[in-house]
Amino acid sequence: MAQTMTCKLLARAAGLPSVAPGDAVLARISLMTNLDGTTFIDAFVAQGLKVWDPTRMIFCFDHMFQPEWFPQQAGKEHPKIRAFARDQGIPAENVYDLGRNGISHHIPVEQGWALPGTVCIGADTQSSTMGAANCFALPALFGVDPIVLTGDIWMIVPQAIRVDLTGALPRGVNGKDVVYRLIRDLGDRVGGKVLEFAGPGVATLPIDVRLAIANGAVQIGALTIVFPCDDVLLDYLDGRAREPFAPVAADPDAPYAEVVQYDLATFDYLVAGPHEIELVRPLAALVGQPIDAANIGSCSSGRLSDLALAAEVLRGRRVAPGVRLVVTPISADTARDATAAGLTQIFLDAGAMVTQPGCGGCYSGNLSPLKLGDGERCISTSVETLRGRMGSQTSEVILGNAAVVAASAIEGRIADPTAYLARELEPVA
Amino acid sequence: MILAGRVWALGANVGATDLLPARYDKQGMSRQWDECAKHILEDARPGVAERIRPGDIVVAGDNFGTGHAHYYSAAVMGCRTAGIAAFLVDGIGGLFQRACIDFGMPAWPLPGIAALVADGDELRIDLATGDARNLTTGATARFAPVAPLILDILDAGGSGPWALRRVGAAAA
Repeated sequence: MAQTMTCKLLARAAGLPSVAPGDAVLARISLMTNLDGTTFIDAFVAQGLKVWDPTRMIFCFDHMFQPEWFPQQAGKEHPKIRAFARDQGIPAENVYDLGRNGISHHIPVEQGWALPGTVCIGADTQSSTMGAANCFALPALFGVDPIVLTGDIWMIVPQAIRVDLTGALPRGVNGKDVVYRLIRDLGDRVGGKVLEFAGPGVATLPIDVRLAIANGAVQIGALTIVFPCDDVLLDYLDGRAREPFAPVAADPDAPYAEVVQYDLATFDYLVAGPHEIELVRPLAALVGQPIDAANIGSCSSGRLSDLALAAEVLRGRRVAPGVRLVVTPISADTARDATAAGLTQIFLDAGAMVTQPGCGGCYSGNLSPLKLGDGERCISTSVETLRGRMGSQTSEVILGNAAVVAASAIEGRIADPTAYLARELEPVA
Repeated sequence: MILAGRVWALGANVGATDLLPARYDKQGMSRQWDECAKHILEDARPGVAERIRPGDIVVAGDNFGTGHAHYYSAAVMGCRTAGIAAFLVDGIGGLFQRACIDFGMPAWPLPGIAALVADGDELRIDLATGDARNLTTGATARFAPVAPLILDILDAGGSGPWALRRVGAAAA
């Protein structure tokens, strides 16, 4: 029987010749990636339990939770993780500690852990990000303990929707805009299915953009997102992949719950929020609204291509007086690459603050100088717009892509970046 | 697994932050489930929390369990601690369903369940067979049974105790 990528990935991991939507299976996992907000360590220590395979567990320091009332406040959590890793025989290099750190579902792709044809589980809500690498990637949420104990995960095989892409994204438009378009178009009917991308348009999307799209599964309402394996992905994995892998491809006649088609050239700047991510509007609807703060970073942005896009807008320009712009690279490697490419200097020259890599100001409990006060409005590339998410319950978070945030920071109000991008720039020395 | 209880009927598109408003994030993140339980459905159905009896069943329409997964555990554990025995719905988000079953809370899509019962009806259902009966009206329906693997997890009280059972480890 013809199968989707989803069915093939889960069948392989379950050791079965095939599976069908609705089947309940136990799928063997290749990776468990943890944020610095673990929920299983105390129980493992108290009960003397061992993780199923210490070589397939990684920890990524990204949120750096600050509030003292947090059980996982970084000052307690980081030492706990280091000690747990030592006790369990988890290699030291599997702990992405300060200086090597980054977001827990970005690091596995960047560092070659999440590979095509596998099932990769993350503790973070946004772990679908890894699906950009042709794996079945899922947040374990608060079911981490059993997975870490047994190395497998119960799954009800989901249905899939195929998203066929043609064309290429217009300049300045990126993965954020794709996610918001899909929230708007598909949000009320995805209902926990998997989105599988297909079609010639996929080849035009760099891995950065695929990661940003795959990151949006939860917000779109999908269980996860799977990209096909192509030359762009194979090139990216060359020199990164930690072990041999066997990609999966959907059968041409695989049964999908639905097939939707998009010409990427028709995508445009979209903004989401405030308070509800389903509130997706064309950028023009909000242009001119004054802002107090601007944030570039988080797991749905903060990659090198996002930073390069923001830098293109900001180069030689200044953040408006009275506005604070904070830039947070997604990982230590991204921070190094951004500095090597001259992007960090551009941000600093523009009057932005550049922080340590990780999740940044996306959530007010994280280590970030960016907290919203009463009545403040922030435009952000981050992942969530819920009331109070970045500080005060009376503040507003509007979400958009890195070019939109950068242009807005310059003007002190929500702005269209088109004019800022319409210049020829010499390469940064 | 047989469930019987009074129904709280909700509509379609009920999200995690409808079950427990996001303003109780702090109580959720610090795992004060008793506090979460006091505020469930506070905006969607004000005053419900104090009227829930152990064994009550939430029945809802399609697209149950929407919203950011950050808020799932507090929503599930708040409801469970308040006494809700199951979420039986026309359709459920796969990720929210995961959170429920991992916590030992039966949560299953039974397309048509919302039409079988009204708010306040008494419902009886055998998850292993799919046989359901509205004890208030006498109406019956047969749904697809819940997979044995899932019933095992629920029987163990969630995926944590289920995994311990599988590896033969004794809980402390």
